[in-house]
Order: sequence, then C-alpha cells, then structure tokens
Amino acid sequence: MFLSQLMRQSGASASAARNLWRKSENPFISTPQAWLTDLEQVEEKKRGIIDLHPDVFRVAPRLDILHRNLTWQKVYRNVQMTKMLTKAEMPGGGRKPWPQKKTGRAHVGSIRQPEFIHGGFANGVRGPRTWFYMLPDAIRLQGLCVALTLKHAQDDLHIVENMQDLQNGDPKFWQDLCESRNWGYSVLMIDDSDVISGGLAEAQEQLAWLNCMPVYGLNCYSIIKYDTVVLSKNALEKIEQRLLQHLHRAKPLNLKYRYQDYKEKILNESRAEENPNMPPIV
Amino acid sequence: MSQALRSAKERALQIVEQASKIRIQDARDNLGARTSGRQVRKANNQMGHTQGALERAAKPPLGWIWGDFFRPWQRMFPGEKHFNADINVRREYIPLSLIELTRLIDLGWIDPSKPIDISTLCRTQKFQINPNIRQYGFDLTEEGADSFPYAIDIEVQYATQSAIAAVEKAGGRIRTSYYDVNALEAAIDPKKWFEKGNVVPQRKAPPKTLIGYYMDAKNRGYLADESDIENNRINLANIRGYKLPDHEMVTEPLKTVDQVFHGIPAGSVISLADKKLYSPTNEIHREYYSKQVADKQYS
Repeated sequence: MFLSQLMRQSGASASAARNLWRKSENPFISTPQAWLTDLEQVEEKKRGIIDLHPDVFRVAPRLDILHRNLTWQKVYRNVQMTKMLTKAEMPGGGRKPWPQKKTGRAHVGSIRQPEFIHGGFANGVRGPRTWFYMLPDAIRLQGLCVALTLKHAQDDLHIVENMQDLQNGDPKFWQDLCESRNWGYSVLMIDDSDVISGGLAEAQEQLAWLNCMPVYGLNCYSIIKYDTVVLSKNALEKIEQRLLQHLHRAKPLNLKYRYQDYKEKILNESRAEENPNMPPIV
Repeated sequence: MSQALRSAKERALQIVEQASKIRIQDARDNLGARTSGRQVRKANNQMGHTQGALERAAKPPLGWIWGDFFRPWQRMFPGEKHFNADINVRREYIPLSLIELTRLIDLGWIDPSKPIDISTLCRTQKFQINPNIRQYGFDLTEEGADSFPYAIDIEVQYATQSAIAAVEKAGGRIRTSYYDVNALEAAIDPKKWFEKGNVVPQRKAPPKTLIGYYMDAKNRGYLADESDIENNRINLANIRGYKLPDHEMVTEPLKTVDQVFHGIPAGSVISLADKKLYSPTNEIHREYYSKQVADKQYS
C-alpha cells in the first residue's frame, strides 16, 4: 500500500497488523489505515500505521443518516416551559363587569375574557411541552459509523498512543501542537477512561477549543462539531469492539424507552447532588 | 483498482475526501426522503366506506372458506364432524429446511462442530417458538436435501425420512425428541430461565399419541434402541442407495431421556453470575431428579 511505503521512508517502527474482528474477506474492501502518533512534542512524529475496521471507519457516507442523528440530538432535549394563562387561571374576573343588556356595550361575563386587555389567552402556548423521541438503535449505530468515516476520510481523525499523564500542561504548548499539525479550530480528545490526568487535563481546562470525552460519551454531534477528533489507542479498540458487537448482534434491541421503565432511575439520579439551598432537581 | 471497479461507496467517499470539511449544516436528508400525502384519483378513492356499509354488504354463504361459493367446507370435506375441532390440541412444528440450516451454518450463526438442538437454533434469533400457542419445536424438512454438505449432530422434534437420509448421508447424526411445554420454555431461552432461578426441569415423556413416533427407530426417536437405530441407518442407506461415511458425527454423548441441556442434569440450578451449577443436596430431591422416568403415567 501507499501508506506502508511512506512508513518505510519515515522509519516508523510499529506494524499495521491488528486483529480485526469479523473483517470481510471481500478483496474489494480495502482496510482503512491511520498514522499512529503521540502528544509528547509539538512536531508530529509518526510511530507507525494502524489498521482500522472497514465496517466502522469505511462505511457509505450517508449524510441523511447523519442528519437524522444530528437533528435528533438537537431536538430531543428541548422542553418548552412557557404556559400562557387562560381566562380561568388569571386572577379575578369572577364578577360580571356590567349588565348583559341595555348598556350599549358588549355582552361580557368577565374582565379576563380573551378579547380584553390583560385578559386570558384563548389559544396560547400551554407548556410544558417536550420534543423528546428516541431514534432507532440501528440509525444511531450507523450514524456513529458514518461520522467516524467522514472524519477519517477527511484526514481529521488521528490516533495517539496515550493521553494520560502527559508531561506538558502549558496551553501555549498545546496551541502550538495543534497548529503545527494543522488540527483546525477545535479538537476533541477521546480516551477510554472517564478520568483524565496530567498535561492534557491542565491544558483543556484553560483552552475552550480543546475538549476531552470518554468513549461512552461518543456522539455524532460532537464528532462533527469539532474540527479534529483524536482517539487514543485504547479508545479506538473500545469503540470498534462496542460498535462491532452491536453491528453483529443477532436480535434488534427493541428497547421501548418508556418513562415508566426509567422513572426510578431518573428520579434517583440527583439524590447525591441535592443542595440544601436549592430546590430539588427532578 | 480502476475507476470502473470501484463500488458506489468508494466513489461516494472519494467525493467526501475531495470536499471541504463537512460541518453540521452540511448534513441533510436525501432528495425526496420526506413526502407529503399522495393525492388519490377519484376512481381509486375509497373514502366514504363505513363500517355500516360493510355490515350490510352481501356475505359469502355459510361454510365458505376458500374459492368457489358452491363448494363450502361441509361439501369439500363431507366426512368431517367439526370444523377446526382439534384447534386447541394440535401441535405445531416450525419448519426448518435443510437449505436454511446450511445457510445458517454458512453465515456463521451455527457452529456445526457442536451439537445442534432447540437452544442452538433459538440462539440465532432467526426463529420464534411460543410454547403457549402449542408450538412444540422444529420440523426438519427435506428442502435442500440434494446438496446438504455438513456433518452435523442435530436434535429436532420431527423429521421426514428424506431429511434423515440427507443428514446421515453427509455423515451426521440426527435424533427426534420430545420437549414438553416446561422443558421447551427452558430450552428456548436458557438465559431467561436461569436468571429467574428456576430449576432445570426434567423432560417429561411424550403423550400417548406421540410415544409411537419417538419409540420408532425409523424416525430416529430418542426412546428407540441405539442398536435398532444403527440397523435402520444402514437399512435406509441401502434403500435410498447411498454409501454411509465411515464415521458418524458425534460431538457429545446423547442427552438422557429427561435432559434438557447438554451437560446439565435435571434438577440443578444455574448461577450465571458465578458460572456455577448447583446440584440438589436433599436426598428426596436427588432421588426424584435421578429417576429418569418423569411421568407417573408411563412409569
């Protein structure tokens, strides 16, 4: 391959061979590859080439599936809390303001009727209203694969050896690093552990455009939102394993996502976060 | 690879590679993905037909089930006493053809080097068996018998002679065995059964009407003598004119007559968390589960 020739020229050491689970035997499906680098110094040093699974990193770029995922992520969290009061819910207005007939005025029963100034609303917004829905599992799964494929196809996906316990936490260093490697305006680092320590943790606290995320937080919106996505080697393993496990599942999950099933979990979620000075979060 | 040989996917990805960075605002639906309602033509418009119109419409004559109005059920089958008389008794078997089985093995859903029984077949999630509506397992049919390539060790609930011949010609072993409702429920979804903490049940003896079938060596019934079955195997090969392979496919010893799972004796409780099997310690329980004759009726 072209990449392996390059690797020989640059003197990279590690080999591309990875055990790709259930990789297709089809000779027309080529295995995507990526450079393996590290975050120790500003310049990009190529440590080797790593094989990526074609079922995850080389799928058809279905922008419509991606669109469904992005819209879903934007919409499902929306809650409209506005509640416009009706005639009955407004204070007062119980008395008939003037007699029904022989005054020459309109026949009204209450000063809170909708046609009055400061009256109630007849067809107002009646919150709370939610736009919550659940996208099918298969669409979410395919969406993740499409997003990762797009990032890889556009050279915006990078694999690094390690993200934990890096030496340098200077924001200037990280800015230079990302600039010299042409990583664009924003960078998302994904590691398999949900706690990050060392230089990266210090730097990402001060740099708004640099963010870290555990593997379980991986989502289409973030992958597309950030200019560059950087995966650690462990994260790559875990992402592939999880996605392939679901791609080769025998049965659809068919989860119902009913409120009654999750009610107890949701209500107990904030138990540890309760503050005596604040109203309870439900 | 030349341009002509590229797949549509690769061509699409080539466009993506040459495009500028794809951002959130670039993702959109395909053309025509969302359509508004279709206008039906006046002639095809079915609106206005109400429930009442259906109720007042002309009905087919009494006893009509299919086709000709002048051949109602009672004329098609004049000897029958009742219509669907045995509907609450008759057993249903899910047909499993040999070609389907071949395909399942080809695609890696079933491992031919391990014994194949109800649990294996249900684990593929390609079949649904509901014992509550009197589905009693699998019926191995002969479709694909001409070219059945795998030597397998299979246990089904019903099998035709051609299917038996095809399996044995390929060097496989086949047995037909009866699962009562309780055992079937355990065998269909062992995980669910174990997680409930239920005891692995004994397989009960078949009902009177099926005893004959399962004791017949011709059907490779699990109650038949092994020597009889061996004779019948050779006999069937002679009748059908094929040569039996030297070795029969034996993955594991046959289940005992009351055993539901390979390697798990009746009466034990399984803990999936600890990966342990708990045998009964009480003497009475142990005796009950070791009798291997489950039904009082046939003991």
